[in-house]
Amino acid sequence: MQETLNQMHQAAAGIQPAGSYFILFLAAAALLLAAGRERERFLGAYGLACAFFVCNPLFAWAAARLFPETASYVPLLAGLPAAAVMAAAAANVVENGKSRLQRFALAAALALLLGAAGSGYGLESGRLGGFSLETVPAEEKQVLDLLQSQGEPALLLAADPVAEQAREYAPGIRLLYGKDMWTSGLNLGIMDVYGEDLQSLHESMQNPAVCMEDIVAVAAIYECDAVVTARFEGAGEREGGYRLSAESEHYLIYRKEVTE
Amino acid sequence: MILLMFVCLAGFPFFAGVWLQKTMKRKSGSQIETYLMGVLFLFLLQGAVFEAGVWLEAPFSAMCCVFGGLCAAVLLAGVIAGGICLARRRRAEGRRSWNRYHRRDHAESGAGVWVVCAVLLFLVQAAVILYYRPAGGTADGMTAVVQTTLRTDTMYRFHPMTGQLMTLGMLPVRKLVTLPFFYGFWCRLGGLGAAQGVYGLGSLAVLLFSYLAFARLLQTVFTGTGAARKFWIGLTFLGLVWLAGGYVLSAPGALQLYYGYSGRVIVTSVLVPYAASLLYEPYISGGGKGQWTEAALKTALCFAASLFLAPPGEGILYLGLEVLCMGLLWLILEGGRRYRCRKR
Repeated sequence: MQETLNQMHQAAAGIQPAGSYFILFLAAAALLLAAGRERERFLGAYGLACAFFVCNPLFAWAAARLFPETASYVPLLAGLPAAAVMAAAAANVVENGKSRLQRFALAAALALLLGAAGSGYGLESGRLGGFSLETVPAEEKQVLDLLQSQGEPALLLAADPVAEQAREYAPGIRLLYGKDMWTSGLNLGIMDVYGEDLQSLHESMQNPAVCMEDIVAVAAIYECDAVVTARFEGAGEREGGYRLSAESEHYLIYRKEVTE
Repeated sequence: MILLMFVCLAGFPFFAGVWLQKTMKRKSGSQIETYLMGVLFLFLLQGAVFEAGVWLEAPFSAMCCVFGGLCAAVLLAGVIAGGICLARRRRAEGRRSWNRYHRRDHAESGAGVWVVCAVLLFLVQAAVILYYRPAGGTADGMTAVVQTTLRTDTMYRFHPMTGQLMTLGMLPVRKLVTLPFFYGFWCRLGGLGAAQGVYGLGSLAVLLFSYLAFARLLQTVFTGTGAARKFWIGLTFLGLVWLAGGYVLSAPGALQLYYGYSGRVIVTSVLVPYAASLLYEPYISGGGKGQWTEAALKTALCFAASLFLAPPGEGILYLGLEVLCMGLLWLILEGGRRYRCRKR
């Protein structure tokens, strides 16, 4: 019982960040209901029905139990006709302006209100900002270019940031494990799971200064051609059967030594 | 190249819709409805073709040829059907009278400024999609699947995050999702990189489709005097809603702008408003049996298309909940109406 309540509380917390938007949505629905025209009233009522029946913690909890991938419940708000309700209500309000000037003043005021609600949304969830011009992860790309220029390895064991970019910038290189190792499977539905040895190898890769010996030993078992680790103090020119072939500001590239 | 591909991707549904309208011998409805029918057809066609490829373990390139060939045939049929229809209409009404009628209609509505505002907001969002990325929003599963598909010429046989052959494969329910192959087809056709095809082309197309789906809903809501102006003001505010909530991850606006390519967003921002408008129309206008049948059939097709776009927990569930709400609302309103009748 307590666990169920906790899960429902979590579901409620998922919906909470949409607070300021939700209030605006309710106001818009109320405006449509008061509009007096049946079509608009119906849209307002539909929006409210969605909010009441779908967007509540009980339903969120039940849906998450039925479909575990529905963990990110808040985006469901995107599916609600919230945007249509807000847009229709705003159109009704603006249309009430007597002159063109009044209509523009009303539109500007509503746009500011929407902007403020958006900011409130961001501040509430503590995630305001965080967007930037698309940046190419330069160093990771440089490491992958270096690997390719030295002869593309057939199997690579790489530090997380490099492995993350490898599929995009060097799709010819196969990886010992991918990004799904540390991002809960990425919800790809792949039934092949990583063995315990690879999971502990991933943990070792987080601390190469201490675990380098284990890393190269496992890499040799799996016949990795190259190992890319984060730069660490005391890194040797040779580690197990691997030789340091190149380095960048934050990474060390080891290649398998070819024995005659 | 990405813009050229966008023109192709955005143009196809219209001609497919025209072809469908003519094939089904329907009286031509609004152009938005025609377009959205084409979008639904496109999603279903890609699902049917690539799904067959997945289960037959056919090479991706072969399925691209089949899909491309079918698209080209439908496009040609649409162009011919549309051309014949336009020629007939011009012959009947005369070119000048047709143009004059539309100019007058537009001027009377006084919607000109709002049309410009809505288009500008769309362009701003398109620019955001093309040039901005949320932090950590790259290198996700979708791009990896597209990349692996293009690289290996197989469908769901290689692990997208490692590039190694999968031994156990994937859950059958996840194999139903063919959206990555749809993006892969456009990448292959235009010679685009996986990231360009998914983040750029895919998101742009979904933005357009979602605007049209919401436009159809607004079109259904606003009728009578000043409807055109209200419609365009509504679209302007739709853009503002997306942009205002577009800078917080997981907000509807952010999903629309930065994750528009994902199946979940396609379902929630294209299929859900489309299905809502389909079911809304016959109820509100007291439509006849034919209108109800058509709405029910198209909604069922929306459900089918959602299977190919997102896993059930993110596709059918979202769509089902919205339709359920519509049903509950009908019941409540009908109950209220009957109660009032009985009381009288």
